[in-house]
Amino acid sequence: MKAVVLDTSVLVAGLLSRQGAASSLVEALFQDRLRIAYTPAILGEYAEVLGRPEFGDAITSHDRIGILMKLRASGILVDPMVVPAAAWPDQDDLPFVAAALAMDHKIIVTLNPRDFAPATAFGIRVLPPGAARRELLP
Amino acid sequence: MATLSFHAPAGTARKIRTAARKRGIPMSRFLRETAERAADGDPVSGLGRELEKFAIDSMAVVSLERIRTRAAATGLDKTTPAQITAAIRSARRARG
Repeated sequence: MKAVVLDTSVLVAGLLSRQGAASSLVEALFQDRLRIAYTPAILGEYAEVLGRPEFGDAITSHDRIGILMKLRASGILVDPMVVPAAAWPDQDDLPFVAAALAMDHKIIVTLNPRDFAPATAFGIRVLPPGAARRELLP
Repeated sequence: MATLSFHAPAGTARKIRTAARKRGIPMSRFLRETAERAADGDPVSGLGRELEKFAIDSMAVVSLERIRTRAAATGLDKTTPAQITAAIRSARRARG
């Protein structure tokens, strides 16, 4: 079973909707058909974003804990690698790059591939959810 | 107290370090406790661990279902990627 770094955008999209590739990926995580690689920084961001008021009508604090516990229990905690200097569009994305660099299969799944464009120069594959579903969930 | 040492491939060492961190204990304590259980004949992956996984999985499945039901009822299931990205940016700004 491959492990991927899941950008927060994909996690949120997959939690909120029963439709689409992000949804399939989240279900695969919950069914232990796919694993995430994470660092404390990534798990922290998941917690912050799932707790945002924008999602408050759907995600209660109780459910947020349930989701985070599952991701933590089933995921792979990795030591983040040092991210090489590059023209990164958003410094806040770098924890995801640092986690991907620590993996054998360096894959980031994101709704915003352009935000991770420099990562490909460092052997990281940046996949949108549809491509990730086709490749990882045969 | 005796000192024990051993050599391990880099991949194995990384795996052990990660497992210890997951439990929130030093690697030396993780190794000692794991070795003690093995020496005592206790299965390392015992019923307790299975029950813990079962509880976490059950809770997560229920949470996922509740989130999606509420999202469908409130229209949040139609949240666009741009709206999700905006919420993430807000969270990051709030973090400072």
